[in-house]
Amino acid sequence: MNIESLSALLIFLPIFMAIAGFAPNLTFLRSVVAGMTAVLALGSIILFIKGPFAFEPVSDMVSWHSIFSFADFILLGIMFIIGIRYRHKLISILVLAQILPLILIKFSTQKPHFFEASIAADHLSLMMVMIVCIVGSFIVLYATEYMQKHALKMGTSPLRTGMFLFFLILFLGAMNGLLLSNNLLWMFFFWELTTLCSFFLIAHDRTDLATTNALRALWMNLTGGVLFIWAIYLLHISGLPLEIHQLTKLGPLPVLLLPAALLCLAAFTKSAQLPFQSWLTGAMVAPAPVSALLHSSTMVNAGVFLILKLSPIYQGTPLASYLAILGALTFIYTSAIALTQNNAKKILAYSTIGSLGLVIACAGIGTPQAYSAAMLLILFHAVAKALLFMGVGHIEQLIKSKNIEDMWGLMERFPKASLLLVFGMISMFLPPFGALISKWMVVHAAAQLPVVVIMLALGSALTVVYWTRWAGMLVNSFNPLTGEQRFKSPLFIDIPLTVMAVLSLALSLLIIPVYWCLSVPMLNIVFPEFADASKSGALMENIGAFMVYPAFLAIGFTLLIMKKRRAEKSMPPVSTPYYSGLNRKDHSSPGFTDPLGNFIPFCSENYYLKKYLPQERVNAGINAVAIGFIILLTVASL
Amino acid sequence: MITMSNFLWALTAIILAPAMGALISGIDRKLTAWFQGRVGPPVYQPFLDTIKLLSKEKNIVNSRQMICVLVYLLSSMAAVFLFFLGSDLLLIFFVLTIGAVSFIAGAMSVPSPYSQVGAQRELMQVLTYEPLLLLTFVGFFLITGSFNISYILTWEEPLLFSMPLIYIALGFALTIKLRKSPFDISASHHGHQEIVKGSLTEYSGPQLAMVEIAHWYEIILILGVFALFWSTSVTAMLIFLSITYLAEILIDNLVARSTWRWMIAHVWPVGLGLIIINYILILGM
Repeated sequence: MNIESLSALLIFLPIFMAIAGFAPNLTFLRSVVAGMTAVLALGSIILFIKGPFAFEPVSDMVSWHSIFSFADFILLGIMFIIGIRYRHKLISILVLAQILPLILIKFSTQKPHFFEASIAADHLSLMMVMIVCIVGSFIVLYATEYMQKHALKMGTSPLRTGMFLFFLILFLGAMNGLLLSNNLLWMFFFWELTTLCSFFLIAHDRTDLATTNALRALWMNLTGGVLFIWAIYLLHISGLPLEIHQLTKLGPLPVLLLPAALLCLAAFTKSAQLPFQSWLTGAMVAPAPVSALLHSSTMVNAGVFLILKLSPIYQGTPLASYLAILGALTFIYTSAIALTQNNAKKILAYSTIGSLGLVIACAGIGTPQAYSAAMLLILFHAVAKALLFMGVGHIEQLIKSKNIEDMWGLMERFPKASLLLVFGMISMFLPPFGALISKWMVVHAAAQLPVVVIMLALGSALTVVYWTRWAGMLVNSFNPLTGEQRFKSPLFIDIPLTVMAVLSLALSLLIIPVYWCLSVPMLNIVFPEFADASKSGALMENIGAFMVYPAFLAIGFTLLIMKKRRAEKSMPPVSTPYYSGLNRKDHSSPGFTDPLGNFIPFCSENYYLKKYLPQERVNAGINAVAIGFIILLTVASL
Repeated sequence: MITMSNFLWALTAIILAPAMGALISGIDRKLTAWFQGRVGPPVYQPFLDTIKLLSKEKNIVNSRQMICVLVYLLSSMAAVFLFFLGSDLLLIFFVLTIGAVSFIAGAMSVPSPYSQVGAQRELMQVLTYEPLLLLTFVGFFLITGSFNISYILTWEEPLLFSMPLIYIALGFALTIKLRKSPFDISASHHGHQEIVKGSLTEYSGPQLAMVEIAHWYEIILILGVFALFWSTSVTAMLIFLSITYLAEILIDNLVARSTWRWMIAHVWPVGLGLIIINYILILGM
């Protein structure tokens, strides 16, 4: 298959298959989705192997450009109607603010733009396409099972569930389109399409809270859209090309700075960076597959993708420093707030925003090492977060609570699901897993900028605390796991979870090949001087990160010992915990008998430091600071 | 770069470190006894204690405890190994994190109130010392331009002169890491405090011995990190380390235990402040 049809397949297959979401027969739906997963995964891998490309799609009848212009107006029309329907003035105004420049661009008398290649991809786009196709598809597969239970619980009609799956699958296509467009106008269309999809997905439950949060997500992302289209308009009136590759070739021109700043701010809204973080945490009301999809492989990645793509334009300008500071600020703020949360999905959400902040800080730091750290972080974060969100969604359906305090001792009740969840957490912050290797590279790269590195150090200690705490309470249990009736998760929940865990482990083990295949080709393009250096010893300094292998050996060694132990069945005698001499005689449940003979069960709670970090006050303060920096950023790029 | 001699040196270190660590804690106990007007146990007492613990019957609440203790021990061994290999400071930092996390997970895995309180407090300790430790390593980078220990060791003049304030901040961090007073908040040497032995409550016999051995490795590692501040001559380094550790013991005996609230509220601002001032001095020069 040639590149043209393959990329068309990756974009249009999900868009057309989306209709399958309405299929009433579950087996049929699942086989269609499973088939689509296989095709997408295979297609994206082939595309990656074939390497970077760029082409201008041709059609005999109507030019693609006119089709996209039409589609743009239809899309904006739908959003305008949503604004009217929910009597949300701001949304309507924001839509009008987009229609205006769009009309100005489309009907301008200036000579029409010549597009060299509207579709193009480099290794960054190809990596992200793989993430969307593989991680995203498995999330859809998971959704087919999850939504059955969810529909029962909420009493939604099959039609609405079908609608949900429709937008979920459509999302994959929109995201692939966004990643493969080189033409900014096309990218704008897909950008707005993801916004629309996310609105419907978040609003799915139709509760008041869901509607409010969906509307908030919509208006915040529309703000991003407004900034995006005005950036295009600025480029248009200055007679600059509207293609990313051509723009990056121009390098850091003063005239490019303002459009670049606007595009970065648009990316901030998409990636839910400060001060736009509230839409993503609000999106947590949606069913788990939405959170998994938005957080790991799609939506939020679009923002950091754009920022990384534009990096040659703003390198060495004040914009880059502001990006680094804002990214690090987001990281430390979200890590601190995550510490005060006991809602599992909120913790994950803040952790996502923080990780994206790290990616943006990397883009701002802008050394080859930081750039590859950003790429690896996107990859490992996507896999780990997909695992965590799907796992938490599953657990939530089982124990009917999102509160992590209700997850004490979950290991005893649902061993496999908890183990996978713990694995996901560990892979977020401990060596030898990929996410940590990227963090290692970030600190290395940021060490020249003390302001950034101080924020990173504080933030990273906070992340260690909230992950360790959560993982620790999951494994808290009394008896060794023997002889109990093991709980088995449904197949279509178990498979995606296991695949993500295996993927995360395999990618971490193969970190050196991954680095060579993903980062190095990209660095050679973005940093021309790096291409020469990579032949000499400079690369070794980057790759020193992967000395983490001893840790792998240590873990392997431990597991071996444990296995041997188990084989020998030499389990040592088991005792009850120390309860000041009031231990219960039988080993059924943890707790003690008080002097009056009453049984007092064991219970414990975590420190949340809410008193020290009052969320409202912290929020207000940090938003003010972030807005201040954004104003500075904009002024600096005028 | 990793050479054969480096490798052998690291291997030797890993074998000798527990012996050295035990000896140092023996001296520590002897000195402490002297401060308190007691005779104190012989210097080799920690060896005897540990050997006895190792020969005791295993007794655990659940199997996760064993895994956690083992990972804790292995991670501190790996950290010492990497340190004497002359590897990357950040890498050692992250390997140490594995140990800290695993230790806490082990304490949290048991439904025991004392162990839980200990684990929560240990988390607060990690939260306090981790940034200081990381920023100290960044301080080394700011001066020498490398995180690599073998490179830092080649620096011509003692680094203490360029980063005196960072040295003090690191002193805070490592007192917390070693759980010495006033920061013996999560677990102390004595089983008669309000949370019994905190995060160590549920370990006994060989498991407790492993925790102890891991602790010895940590002592050596910490002294190693301090040695980086004065690595120009061996004698000077030994004197410097002795003074540093004596100061630790002295403080351990002089001050009462603080609370974790006090710790976060004071160590963070003071430690960070010292580090930031020192950064400014370094960058200004």
